[in-house]
Amino acid sequence: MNQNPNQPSQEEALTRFIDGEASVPQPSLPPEWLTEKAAAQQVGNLLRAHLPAHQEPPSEEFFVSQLMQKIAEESPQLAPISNVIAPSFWSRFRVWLAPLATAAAVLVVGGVVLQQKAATTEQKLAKMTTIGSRIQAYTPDPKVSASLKFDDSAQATVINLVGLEAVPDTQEIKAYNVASSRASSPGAPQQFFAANDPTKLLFVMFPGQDGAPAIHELH
Amino acid sequence: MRNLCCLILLLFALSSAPPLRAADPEDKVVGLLDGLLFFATNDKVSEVTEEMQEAAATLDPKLMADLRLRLAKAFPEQKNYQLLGRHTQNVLQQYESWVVPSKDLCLKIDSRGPTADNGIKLHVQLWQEKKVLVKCDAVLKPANPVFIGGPNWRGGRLVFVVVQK
Repeated sequence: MNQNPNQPSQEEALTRFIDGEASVPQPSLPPEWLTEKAAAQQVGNLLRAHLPAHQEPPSEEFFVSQLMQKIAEESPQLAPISNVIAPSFWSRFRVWLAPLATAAAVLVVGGVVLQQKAATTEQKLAKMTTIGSRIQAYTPDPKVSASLKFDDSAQATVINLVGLEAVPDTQEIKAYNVASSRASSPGAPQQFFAANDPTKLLFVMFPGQDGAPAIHELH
Repeated sequence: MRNLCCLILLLFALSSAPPLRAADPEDKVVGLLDGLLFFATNDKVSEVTEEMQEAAATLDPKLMADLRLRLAKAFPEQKNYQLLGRHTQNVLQQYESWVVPSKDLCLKIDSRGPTADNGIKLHVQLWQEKKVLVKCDAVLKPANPVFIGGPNWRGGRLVFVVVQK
């Protein structure tokens, strides 16, 4: 904003300097003013060299386009105006389509993953067999399946586990004859005594990780 | 939508297993059962340990004979059923009970309440050392034991039997 309306603005002063109407002391000249004046003189020289003195430019657009074309011819290092590629239909909408395409891809991938999970879910649910309201079973190991039935001839509920890893033949099965037991206090290790000798402590069970029992044998 | 429902159902089923709870000495006893580990084989069991002798000696001979007959019907592939271990255990009303006739194969039991005909609704988990083999909801009745056919061993098979007393 010009503080003093009687003083010329910076832009006006520059125009007058370029047109040669105002003389400014050299040391106070901003360097860009000299550049501007040199460019204006070059344009003026070009016009004078290529346009008859009596002919006026037919229109502002024609004047500007002719001027730009001539500058381009004189300055081969600059990219010609004709090489500026107008944005195509795709490039105009690419900005909009990119996020939409990304969202669609995420949806597709998410759908596939969800479908695979659901397929696994269905497989696991298939393993949860129900016989009426009597029994339900689940085998965490995918290699193991449980077939369940109430065997009428045996008059027993039979859970047949298939696919279990065999116990090595070299391994001894450590068996007990144990009396009923309960923990002495909540959270305390549970002690198990022999059925035929209530003073004979056979083993102590600690609650292990993931609910697994940790048995510490004493006999 | 159907897949989502299946996923929710599975999560519900997996989370339905009761968490590990320590036994409370004041907890009420809702039943008594026998956990028996049998070795089902077609061969004669030559080696009989002290524990096997004790377990067999303390079990009612009539019950033993009856169980062997039933086991042979349920698992006809094996003819002989040798009792390896036995654990008589109270079933607690609110807290878990462990049935450990063997260090190698044991059963975790949670009561889900009594049935109208003197049975017990149970949630059972069969463990092989640190690995759970199966989680089941089952109804145990005095006349209807539960047989669980476990892993193979020495040409035969380990069978876990639960009998309500």
